[in-house]
Amino acid sequence: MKIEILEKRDNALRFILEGVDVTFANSLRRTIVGDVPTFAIDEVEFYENDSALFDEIIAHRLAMIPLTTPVDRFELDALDLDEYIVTLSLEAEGPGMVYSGDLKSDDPDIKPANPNIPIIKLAEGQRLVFNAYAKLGRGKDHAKWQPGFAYYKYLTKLYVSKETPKWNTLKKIAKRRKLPIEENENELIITTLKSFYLPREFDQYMGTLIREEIIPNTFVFTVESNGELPVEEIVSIALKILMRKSDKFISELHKLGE
Amino acid sequence: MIIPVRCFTCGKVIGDKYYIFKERVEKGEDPEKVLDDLGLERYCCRRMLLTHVELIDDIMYYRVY
Amino acid sequence: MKIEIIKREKNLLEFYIEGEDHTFANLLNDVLHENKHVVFAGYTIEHPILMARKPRFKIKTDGKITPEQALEEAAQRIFDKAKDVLETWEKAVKG
Repeated sequence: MKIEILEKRDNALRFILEGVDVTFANSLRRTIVGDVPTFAIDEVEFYENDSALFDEIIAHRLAMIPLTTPVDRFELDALDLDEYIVTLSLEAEGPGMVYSGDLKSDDPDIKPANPNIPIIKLAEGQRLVFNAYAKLGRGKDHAKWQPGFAYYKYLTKLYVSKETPKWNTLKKIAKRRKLPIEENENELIITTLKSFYLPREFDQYMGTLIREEIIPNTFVFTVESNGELPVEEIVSIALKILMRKSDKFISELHKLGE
Repeated sequence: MIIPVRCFTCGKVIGDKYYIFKERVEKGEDPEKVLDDLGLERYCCRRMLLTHVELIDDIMYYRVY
Repeated sequence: MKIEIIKREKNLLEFYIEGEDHTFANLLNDVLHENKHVVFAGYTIEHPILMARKPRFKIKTDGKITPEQALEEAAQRIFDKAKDVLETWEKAVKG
């Protein structure tokens, strides 16, 4: 069982996972997208709305704004969620654009993750006053509660024999996409960390001079987040949720036996 | 009408990037380079910015009764 | 997560799990196949909207162990594997 981190940018992470089979990798991906809980706006109460958009459209735009979720104050890997409600409010008037940074929340840890998202544009004399209530929820109930997304692919090696005409073009393409290359006197070996598509003229050699082999039980995972939770925490919480589910299943089996 | 908050297909937040894109393209830069600079690598997110028509400036003077 | 038994005969067990979907059911199904004493194991979701959170399992063993023992061993294996990956992950991130 080995994990090797390939690259890490501020909200994205790519790593190689070795030693699991494809069913476990798919369950991990589905748990990251559908079962890790976050905060999002659920109900909005409007007091005044003179703008050009209907109430429901503004409520839908507010629900899609990602809110930061503190990891240490809530038990995010429990199977039943906390019933904690945060109130966000806004009062705006006049000509100008309303941004998500203008929302005021009564809990300083839970606020919009990105303050530059435009909500609506108001003309002279139009007013907008509302109260919004945010709750914890899971991605499989509504897409606004998704913490990010994840995808995986098999790790393969591409063996290109040097008798293929114009094999140098493949080497140049691989270098431009920054894939690791090894070369010996008969063959060129490319390890596909990102997906590598052959140009159409090489299709006829597929199978004879060019072959592709899968390294068994190895996957390249990419996880990206929208700013609500840090990326390493998302994977840890997903694994803890899988552990809790299997534990609850064993205790339910014991209850049946009595 | 007004730029959607997230990409329809993958869910990445793109609402904050539209006005920067519009300003830079009007100044004369190549749209491909601006999209790469803003960090949008999948074509589902790129089409959200490239093919958006902004109508809120004409509509905002009408009121809903 | 609740278990509702439909049929229980000598070596055969059929039951519903309420509150789960393909995420856990497919993993449990695959780990059951690795056990040598399990003759038949499978699951289905009968309707994608009305019964979306209620997969139906059927397990048959060859007699040397009971179906409940096979299920418990499979769930324990999932727990151990997830714990292994979690420990490797924490070391790879912090270190």
